[in-house]
Amino acid sequence: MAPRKSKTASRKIRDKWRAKEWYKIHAPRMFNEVEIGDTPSADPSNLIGRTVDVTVQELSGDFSKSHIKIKFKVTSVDGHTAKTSFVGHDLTSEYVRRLTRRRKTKTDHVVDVLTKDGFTLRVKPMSISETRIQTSQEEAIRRIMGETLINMGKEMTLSEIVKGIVSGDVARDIAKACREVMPIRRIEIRKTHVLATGEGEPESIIEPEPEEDESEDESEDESEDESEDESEDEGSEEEEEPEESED
Amino acid sequence: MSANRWGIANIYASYNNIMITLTDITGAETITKATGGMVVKQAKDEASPYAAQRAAERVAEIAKERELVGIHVKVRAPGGNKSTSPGPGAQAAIRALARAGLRIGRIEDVTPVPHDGTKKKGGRRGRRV
Repeated sequence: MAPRKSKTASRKIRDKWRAKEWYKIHAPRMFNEVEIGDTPSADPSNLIGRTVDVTVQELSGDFSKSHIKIKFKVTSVDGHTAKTSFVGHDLTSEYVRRLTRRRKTKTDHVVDVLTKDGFTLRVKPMSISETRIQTSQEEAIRRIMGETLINMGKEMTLSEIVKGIVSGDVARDIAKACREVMPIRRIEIRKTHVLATGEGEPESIIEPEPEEDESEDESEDESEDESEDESEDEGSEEEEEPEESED
Repeated sequence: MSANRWGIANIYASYNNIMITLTDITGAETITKATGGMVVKQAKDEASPYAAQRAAERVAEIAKERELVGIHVKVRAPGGNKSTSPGPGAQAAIRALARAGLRIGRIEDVTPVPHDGTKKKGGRRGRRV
């Protein structure tokens, strides 16, 4: 009984399947229109609104950025290629979980940033402090994070901000600004989300050639995070060094 | 034409069952699905590693038929105010998919985590067996 049933079912599915064609999904101009993958559909109009998650590693080949996922949404279909737009980014939950520890305060914040080219971007920064900190200090950190991000938005376009987020420059600037309140162990931009689109298409982020020093720094940071509490003092010193040299 | 096609295996592993749904990379098109109950007779075996293996084999067979090269894996447990650790079948299912010759891309835990929600069932004194 059972096998016969499954056979008819599979035939019906296969017929439906045969009607479907594969469409190639391309990243937006921001990411040099890299090919992301294929998706099947019976009708091209069904494609619009589908979202794809891609790690930065897949887009640029940078292995230290495998924890950042970028989300694209299909906006138009041209023949067998689907064009997408940037709708946000996210860190993998494992990565965030690895950063959060006992006796360290994690401060979250949500800021709506209006960029120079008219995009509204909801940015969710997160800071991990060296020690447990007071609520007033947390509030001060939140205030500074908000101010720095909104000021950045006035001067930068969406693609510049996204580039900064992916490379970690935005997080570094916020960390520098927050240092007057408390020594901050780590600042990450946990999540972004495009709320309203502005004028024109964001510029390309030419990133396939990441600076080598930076990627090395990243890997060092991560190994420090995994190590035990004892090595943390050393780690913070090392983290500070490259920033000072930039000054 | 049959290029580098990937899919996503959404594995839902609870302590009572396992469900594997194979979709395309957008998650909008389901390619196939299999559950623990489809491959074993006894209800108590639905969550077992064996059921997971069989279900994964079924999925892998159709994935190969559809010319998928590899799959990304999204594992999830019941989550919410229920258990956040995937059931015994999750491991077995991923291994079976890999054994079937599919390439495994990234493996991610997508268990829903509440930012604070409702009280877990069982009452103040817990489940009394």
